[in-house]
Amino acid sequence: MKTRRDFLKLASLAPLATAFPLVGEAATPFSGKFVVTVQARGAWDVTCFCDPKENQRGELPITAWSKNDETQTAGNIKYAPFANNEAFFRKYADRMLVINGVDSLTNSHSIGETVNWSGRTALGYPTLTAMYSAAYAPNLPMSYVTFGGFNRTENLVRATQLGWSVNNIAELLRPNYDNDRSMIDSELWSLVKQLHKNDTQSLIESAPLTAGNRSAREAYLSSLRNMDPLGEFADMLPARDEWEPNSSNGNLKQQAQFTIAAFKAGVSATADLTQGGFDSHENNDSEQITNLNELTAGIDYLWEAAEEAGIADRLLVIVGSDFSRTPYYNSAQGKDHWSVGSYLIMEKGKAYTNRYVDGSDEGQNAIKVDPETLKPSGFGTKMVTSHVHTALRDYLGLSNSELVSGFPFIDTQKFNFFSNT
Amino acid sequence: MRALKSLALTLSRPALAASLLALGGTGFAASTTPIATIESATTDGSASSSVFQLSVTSGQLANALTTSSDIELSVSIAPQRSHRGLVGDVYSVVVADGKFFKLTQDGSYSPWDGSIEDLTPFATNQNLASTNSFTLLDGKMAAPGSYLYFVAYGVEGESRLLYTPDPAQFAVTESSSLPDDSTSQAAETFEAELETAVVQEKCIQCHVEGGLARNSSLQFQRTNTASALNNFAALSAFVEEKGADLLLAKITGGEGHAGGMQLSQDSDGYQAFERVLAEINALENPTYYAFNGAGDGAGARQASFLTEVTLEPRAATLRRATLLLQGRLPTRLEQEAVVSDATLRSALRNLMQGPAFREFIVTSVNDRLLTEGSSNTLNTAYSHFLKLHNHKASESINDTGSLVEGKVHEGLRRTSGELVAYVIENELPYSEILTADYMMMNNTMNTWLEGTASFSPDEGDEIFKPSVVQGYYHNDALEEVEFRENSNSTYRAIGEPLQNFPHAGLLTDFGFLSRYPTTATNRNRARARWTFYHFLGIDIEKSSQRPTDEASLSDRNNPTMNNPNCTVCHALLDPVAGAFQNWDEDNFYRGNGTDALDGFYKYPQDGSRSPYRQGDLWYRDMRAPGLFDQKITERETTLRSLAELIVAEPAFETASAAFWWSPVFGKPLLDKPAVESDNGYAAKLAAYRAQQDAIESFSGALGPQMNAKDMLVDMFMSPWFSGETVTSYAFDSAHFESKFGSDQLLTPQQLARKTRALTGVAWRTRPRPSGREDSYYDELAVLLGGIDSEAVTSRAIELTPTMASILMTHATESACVAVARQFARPAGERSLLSLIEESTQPQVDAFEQLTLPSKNENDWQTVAMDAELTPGLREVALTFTNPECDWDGSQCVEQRVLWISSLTVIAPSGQRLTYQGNDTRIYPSNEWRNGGNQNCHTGGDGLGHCYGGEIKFELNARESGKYRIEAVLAGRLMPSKPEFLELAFAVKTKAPILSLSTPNAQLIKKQISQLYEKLHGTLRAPDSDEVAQVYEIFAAALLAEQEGDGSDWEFENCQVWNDGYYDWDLLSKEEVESYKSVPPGGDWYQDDWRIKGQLLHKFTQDPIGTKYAWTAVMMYMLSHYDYLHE
Repeated sequence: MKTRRDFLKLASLAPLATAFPLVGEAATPFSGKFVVTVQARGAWDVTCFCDPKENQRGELPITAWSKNDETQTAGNIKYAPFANNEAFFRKYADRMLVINGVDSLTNSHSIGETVNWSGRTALGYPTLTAMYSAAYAPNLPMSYVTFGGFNRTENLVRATQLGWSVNNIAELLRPNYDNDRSMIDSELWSLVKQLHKNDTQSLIESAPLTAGNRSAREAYLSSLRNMDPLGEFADMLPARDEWEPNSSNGNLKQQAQFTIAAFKAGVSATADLTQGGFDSHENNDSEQITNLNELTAGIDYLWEAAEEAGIADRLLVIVGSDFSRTPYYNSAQGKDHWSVGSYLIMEKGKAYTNRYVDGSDEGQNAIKVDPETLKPSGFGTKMVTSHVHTALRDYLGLSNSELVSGFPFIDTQKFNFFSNT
Repeated sequence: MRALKSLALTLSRPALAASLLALGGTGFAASTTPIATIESATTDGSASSSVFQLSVTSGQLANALTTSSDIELSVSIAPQRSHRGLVGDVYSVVVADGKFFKLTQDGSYSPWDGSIEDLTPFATNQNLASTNSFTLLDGKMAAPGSYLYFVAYGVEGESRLLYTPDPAQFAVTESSSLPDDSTSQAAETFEAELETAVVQEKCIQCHVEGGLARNSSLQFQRTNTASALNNFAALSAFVEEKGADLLLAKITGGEGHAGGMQLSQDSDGYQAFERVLAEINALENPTYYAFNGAGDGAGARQASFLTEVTLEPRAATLRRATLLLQGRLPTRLEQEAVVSDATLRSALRNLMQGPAFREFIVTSVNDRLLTEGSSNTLNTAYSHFLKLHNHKASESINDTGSLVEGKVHEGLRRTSGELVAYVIENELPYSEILTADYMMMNNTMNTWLEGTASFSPDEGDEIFKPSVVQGYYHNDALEEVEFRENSNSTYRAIGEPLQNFPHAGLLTDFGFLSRYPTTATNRNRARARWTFYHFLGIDIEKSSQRPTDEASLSDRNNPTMNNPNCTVCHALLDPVAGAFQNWDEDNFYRGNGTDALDGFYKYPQDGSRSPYRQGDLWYRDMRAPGLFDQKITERETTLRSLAELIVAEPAFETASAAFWWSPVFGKPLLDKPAVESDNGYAAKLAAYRAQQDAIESFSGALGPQMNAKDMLVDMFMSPWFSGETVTSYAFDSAHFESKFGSDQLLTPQQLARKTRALTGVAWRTRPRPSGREDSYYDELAVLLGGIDSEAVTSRAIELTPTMASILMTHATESACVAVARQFARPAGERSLLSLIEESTQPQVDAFEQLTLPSKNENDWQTVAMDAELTPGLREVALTFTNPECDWDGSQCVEQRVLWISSLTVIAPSGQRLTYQGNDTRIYPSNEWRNGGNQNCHTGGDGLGHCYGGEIKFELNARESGKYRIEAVLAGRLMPSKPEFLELAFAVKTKAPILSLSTPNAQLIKKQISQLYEKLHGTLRAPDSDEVAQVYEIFAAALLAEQEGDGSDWEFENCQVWNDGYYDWDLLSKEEVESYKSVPPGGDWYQDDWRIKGQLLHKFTQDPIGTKYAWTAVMMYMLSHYDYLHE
């Protein structure tokens, strides 16, 4: 360490250095729910998962497993005896709200992702998670984390995009430091960053920049103001050899590891996790087994990590896909695209869980459901993704947010998914 | 600054469309509100009794006007009785933002200097009645503000003017978007009477993306929540361009309407069209009034997306394009050659060649095609590429098999980009990206795929050449020669390889085919979908919304052929899928030798009868190969036929321009906004339309030769690349939606090239013996804002705290290495710090580095330096710069030691002042913090001893002139490293560092100014605030280092190993080879750090803190917004 430096005194003489305060930029600690979506990309087969269907006499086989087996139940939740479902559903049934029979209104992957994660088929709406971060935690350094998939923010918040290299990130989040040694004096480095902030703020205020240039500078400024907590977060990340290994179709466990660490560290409020590989046009069952196993293992890991971190009580997990797969096999023993799918919503210790909304018939067609009782009803309404999003917005307190009012769902029936009874 | 020259004087189509799109919404019916009634005054002070009444007509209340409001300001003049029946002239003046403008006869405003002489009427020879109405403005105000209006008139025979002594005032506030909230009767009529009954029922059958009338300028959208609105806009645009008469004629089958008669003149639909067209005609083009006093003739002018934009200087465009295309800064010659737009164009064109340009193309093409995300470009488990297969099969006895396969895969993931680069660089018709009857191969690929290109042995795999596959065999031309269980068998050829391999540019690119694989049910539809998307600009998935009624989709009678809800897309998609008929799921051309059909189709597992017939190449239950309404009947090279059809489509050219949008501008191309009620819809639509107009324009630059360089030059010359500032915020919302502006966040690869080119540093990048590179820029691609071509496929365009944090680490880790690299070379050879030396410190009056030629402690030598001084207090420092100790854990086995006998200062007058070596005045008073051990101390032998560090003493210079400082010294050397001791003398001023204006201080500021220019591309004068600020960083760092504990002869924690080329660049080949080795069979280097450390040590020595200070400056520079963006 050096002797007491003069440079802060020097800096105070700088004409531009005094324009803005050196302190007072810390974000308010976030104390709300942590919201995670798990995007099963490529379209899962819910008849082999949370919307089990058995073969019907006179119809094409809908599931191979039902030739020799029956639908299983854990608590109030039905599930298919397939892959590692049993362990998963038995362990988490009391944390689950299963909504079956949700029509994605499309057979296209890209639109399927759009409608499932923004609530409508047309582009232009953000993800629920982006909205939530923007509404409740806009200044966290990585408020909205995404590992790919559909992650539009519509300029509400800047998404932190992560990929396969999360296990490298820790050593890179502490600029000017290698282990605990600084490359230049830490106070001097702070001064450098402060000057960057001052310069940027001045330019934004004084120059008639184009909107794109202004926005880019605002992003830089915002990043500088909010990045400091990342140093501590880096210390909480696993060491290189402590990261979970990649699986065959992704790194869902790594994503979960990272996400829980980010929540625990207070640097993030939402995350979109992804796992690809569900597009099983050939050999549906073997493809789905592999991927459902990885999916449920990843979700299980997420919950276990949350428990260990002491934040499981604040975690809300929404699992979904582009849509589902046909209620019959094609000639390659695969299944093609089918618009009627499911959502799995998970939370710990809530009255609305251990609930199963049976919105599809035996042929995997959407049927009408009473919005209040959530039971099939000829006077009810067929469910679409906007119904689920509307309910989630209400549940998360977003519906009345001015921020969110710009993305309304018109004439959407309210479904009572989150009632306590 | 470069002003945008072509101000649009006619309203562009987007603006009209945006205005016409207002449908319902929040607007009010237009109403008229008086804002002022003013009795006249006269210019000569005489009495008058005329009255002026000014009124605002708008859809908004007069006190709630915004920049998006349509405003009509009118004045009603009630002349005094004596003026009625006379002829008069009328005047009006507006005060906006403190400036005066007069209304002119053409309805525009021009600056007024305030004098009567300069005032001109906007209406002349008016016969004055009891009331006379005039319109003063009719349109939108481009900027918010308060507007003061004055009106006057004069009559013939009178020299005086009657005017409003007080202004009529109205205020306009900023609108958050670009809505036109006025109710459009035309739009309402259209939605109510035409959208469902006519457009969706009839017109849409052909006038839709990909439909038979796809080349018509009238394109509708299928039903969705916004189709009525968008279709109305489409109709309006068509009418504006072609006229209502043409539309009505075509509807009734006239004017060669290919669709024949759709509506008779007496039909309800036709009459509804007539009404809508009449109502459209009644709408006027909005005018934007801008009062900004600019030198180009301020006043009312019609504004559009680009008219309020000011471009960056040409030099900035050249710099940014050079970094983007060449990964370097422009040379002086290149800079000096750019003196006009024409020369800038020429300079840009010259950048479009060479390896760096090709890398730009390859990266850009991958951003679209994502071939880097291909997992298995060539399935070598099969024997079709016989030579490669057998080599791979022999892996157990030849471990290079998988290595070769890996190289081939790596090459195949690049070939799409290499093909496009080859076409562009060689100025071949751009259509050749699809029609090429060859592919690009490097040496390895050419060898193992048995290509036709010629490579010399010294040409590495970074070189790609056109080549044709000649080593591909069908199954029936091969015979197994060795069966190998649990491994690939080996084969031999018993027939001929395929002659005339049917290359068709990107369509047969193995990376492309494998990135979008086919299956038994997909049947090449994914390949077709992306072919439409990339090469015709048609997004089939978004072209039609699926019905919500599952009953309409529940039939199983081959719905893609028969169900209208499915055929809407599949009629377009499936013929193109059919053109891929010869390419199977393993990317083989008729892998089984006869066709590429899947076995499930040909031989159903359930025993049902297949429609397949011997000789079929395509599915009988799908549409025949083709494109739109054109069939492909040829069977062997169907993709080449498809390519010919695609490149003949006009949409290929616009798709080509769209393809290059993101790579050139660094921003995504917007999707067409779909829902009118969305927030900011008007702004999004305006931005989208502006982009589409630009694309149309860029595609036109391809010209008949289809020269892509011409198109790219146009793109780089456009405001989309170089728009820097705005003169008004009229289109701010639309600009925001498109992130319009010159600044681009550098991609990881661009940042890598920039840092390497400007600083020399290859951050966390290491070469391998094979010539390949490991780079964190690639490994961290997503974390740095890039893509992985799999899950993350779109680049970040703005920073997040995480990205910023990592980029700051990039800056801090690179900075000290960059400085060490600079000081490793003589000043004249440095790229950045060429103006200063290590001794160039603000306080230093004189500095000299010396070698002490003493061989042992008894070998006393006198060394000296001269210093030209003026009177004043100084400090003299003698620093021992190469101390070393061979530490065995408890003591120094060997150590260099400096022995000081005396130090003498000889003034210009000859007066001498001598300190003996043990004089306590020359030792810092207990400032050492090096574990409590002094590095220099007095000895009982009357001498001073130094094991490192420095001694100092004060020099109060009372004379001006040359001072001489002598030291009598001896050195103990290390037997194992017998280099002489190295010393540095410095004479420093003791005044406060920030107040110094010594030549060195000036030089440092000049150097900082130059760093701004080189690293940021910004001009900051040496006496500017910005330079002063960075100078303070330098000074602060220098003081901090000099006041340190004396242990920091090297940078603190400077991680030179983070730069994989550091030693390669700074040491000789022999020196590098003295410590590097390659493990057997490995592809990495092992370094002997005992040797390497010794060789590199000198570059990071920093005895007087200069390198540390410049490191702080470099950290500032490399972490600055202007470094991370170009």
